[in-house]
Amino acid sequence: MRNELDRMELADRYLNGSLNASDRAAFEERMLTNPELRQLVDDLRDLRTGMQRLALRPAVDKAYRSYEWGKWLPGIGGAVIVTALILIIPALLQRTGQQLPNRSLPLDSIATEDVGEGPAPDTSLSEPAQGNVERRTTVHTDTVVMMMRNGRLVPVTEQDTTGKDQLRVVKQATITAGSKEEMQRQLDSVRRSAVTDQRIIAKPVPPDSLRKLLEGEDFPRIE
Amino acid sequence: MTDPEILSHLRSCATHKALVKLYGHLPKVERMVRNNGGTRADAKDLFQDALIILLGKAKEDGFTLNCAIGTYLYAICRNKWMEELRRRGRFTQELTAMPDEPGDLAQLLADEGRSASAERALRSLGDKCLDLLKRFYLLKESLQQIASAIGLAGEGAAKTRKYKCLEEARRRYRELLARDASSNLQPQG
Repeated sequence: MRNELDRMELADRYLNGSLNASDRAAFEERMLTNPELRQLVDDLRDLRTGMQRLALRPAVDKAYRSYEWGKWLPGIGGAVIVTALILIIPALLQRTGQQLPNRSLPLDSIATEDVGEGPAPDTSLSEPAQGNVERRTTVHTDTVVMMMRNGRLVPVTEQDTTGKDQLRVVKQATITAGSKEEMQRQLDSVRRSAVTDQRIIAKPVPPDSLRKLLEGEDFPRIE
Repeated sequence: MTDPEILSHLRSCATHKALVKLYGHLPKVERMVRNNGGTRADAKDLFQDALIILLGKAKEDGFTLNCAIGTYLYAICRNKWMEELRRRGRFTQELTAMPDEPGDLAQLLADEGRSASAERALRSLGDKCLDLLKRFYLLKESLQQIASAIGLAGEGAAKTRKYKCLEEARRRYRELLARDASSNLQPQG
């Protein structure tokens, strides 16, 4: 066995390239005449290659796992974005004062109607130019909270507002025509009632049309 | 990443990104294998072997690729899969080759068959032997270091242990080669 061991050691060093020039030449000469030795060297060379392959496996496996993840990530990322959009868009729309889709009543619509002649109202709140005609303005104002319940978005009443999952609720108010201060006061009180709950995340912002109304552009100015 | 970039990444230490990128060629191999009696797992094994061949080749000096990397990997997989189908004794027609497939794969695949068998022989060794051989051939530890790491008396004992492990690996390797040779002699179809 000693001989065998030395022979293998020598072959290993030959493959290593760690034999000196003369030992190397002698070894190569022996290989020419000794097929068994040649076979040993071939086998050891193959085993070395096999060893290298073995060493590469972990890197190849690791890359495979990354690749598999990479296939799923765009899908996961997409789902996250879609979810985020579903959650954020209503709030954004509300901030910019735009209408939300699929709503029976426009959010910030202002309906002005004459309700006929009636007893002359308190002159300080009535509109002098219209005489006895009472004009009522209905403002559908800011939305505040909707909540996720059993996987569905549903509008909630104020006592339902339980925290993180709320988004908006529809608030509707009737504001009667009056002085600028009076209308502002009514509107404020409507909006206050909508935002009293501190957990409400989307705070109402007056839409343009309301601002115009308050500034008297769409409504006869009351002096 | 372009093909030359991938190759240079494979040569350097930044192989991970290049390998992940290369897995982009796996689906085509998967289709070929699944259309010809194989499974997804077969395709993955095949493809990983092809990657390992490429990695080995890329590290050789003067290795140039005269086709696209994807074609190269596919060609290796295609040839190996036909071989596998023949081994399973199934009649196979030539699986369709890619148009720019290199023609000099025969030698490569013959070598590859041998080193794959060598790898299998090594894998089948016990953990102790495999650990010792890894330390010696991959981590380049000295026999003295190995002896103290795995609790052997000294360099001499480590040398003897290494000899025994190599001898056993070699025996198993010969066995596998003989088995492959005999299965190749069996009539096809």
